[in-house]
Amino acid sequence: MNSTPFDQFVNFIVQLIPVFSIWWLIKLLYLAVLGLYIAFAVIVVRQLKLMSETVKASLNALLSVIAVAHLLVAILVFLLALVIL
Amino acid sequence: MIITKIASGSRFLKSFISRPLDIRFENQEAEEKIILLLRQHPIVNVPWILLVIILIFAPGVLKIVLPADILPINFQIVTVIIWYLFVFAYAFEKFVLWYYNVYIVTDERVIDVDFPSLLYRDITEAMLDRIEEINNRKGGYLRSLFDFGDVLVQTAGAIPEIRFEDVPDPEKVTHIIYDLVQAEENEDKGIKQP
Repeated sequence: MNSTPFDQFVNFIVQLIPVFSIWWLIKLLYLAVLGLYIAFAVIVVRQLKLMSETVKASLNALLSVIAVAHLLVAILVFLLALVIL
Repeated sequence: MIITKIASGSRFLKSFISRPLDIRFENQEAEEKIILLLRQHPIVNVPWILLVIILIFAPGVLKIVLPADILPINFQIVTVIIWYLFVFAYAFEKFVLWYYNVYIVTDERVIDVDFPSLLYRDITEAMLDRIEEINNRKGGYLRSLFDFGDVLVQTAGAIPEIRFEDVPDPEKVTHIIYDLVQAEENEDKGIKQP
């Protein structure tokens, strides 16, 4: 008897389970969180630019450098997670 | 008085700056002078600073309370790094919002630059000649001890009220704005300033 497309899909998933362990799924979750965090860090850099254009104060340059460094660290942590997890 | 001086912070982090020379704002006219730049009193930052200190030590405390390693070592390392990234982001956002949420009094207008979150900007302003009433409000133990409170500027414009929240020395701020409004009225009437 021919199997239905749904049966084929279920069989495919069942075959994948040993390959994709629970830790593989958790790694994906970590990478998704870090991906979102990078997006947040980009927003912080852009927003800080807008803030420093609105009020030109003495700490503008320092805060902008911190925001960019924060974005770079977020990218590095993403890459680290990609490698070591 | 000493406590107030300590809490008012260093030169860069002051919350009451009179006639700042190194600060400008968007749409400032060439001849327009900043008379006052105000932020919320630094003491309003204490709750989030305490929370950040607790969050910094939380992973170490959790390690003692829950000694069994649930996660493999590589996941533990990344989890701790992510934790500190979030703690840093929280502290940085709180500081930046405090630093850029400013109230500006110039010789032409009062301006409330408000960033309710990182994604929004709200700028409210009123010309000095549209100001009708200025009040200040200070109540409670902390506000009396550290000498800060709200200044309420009632205007005849589309925005009926501009509120300077938790600014240092609200009486002095009220007097300065009142003097500027008087000077503006005299200027309109053609009375020369001494």
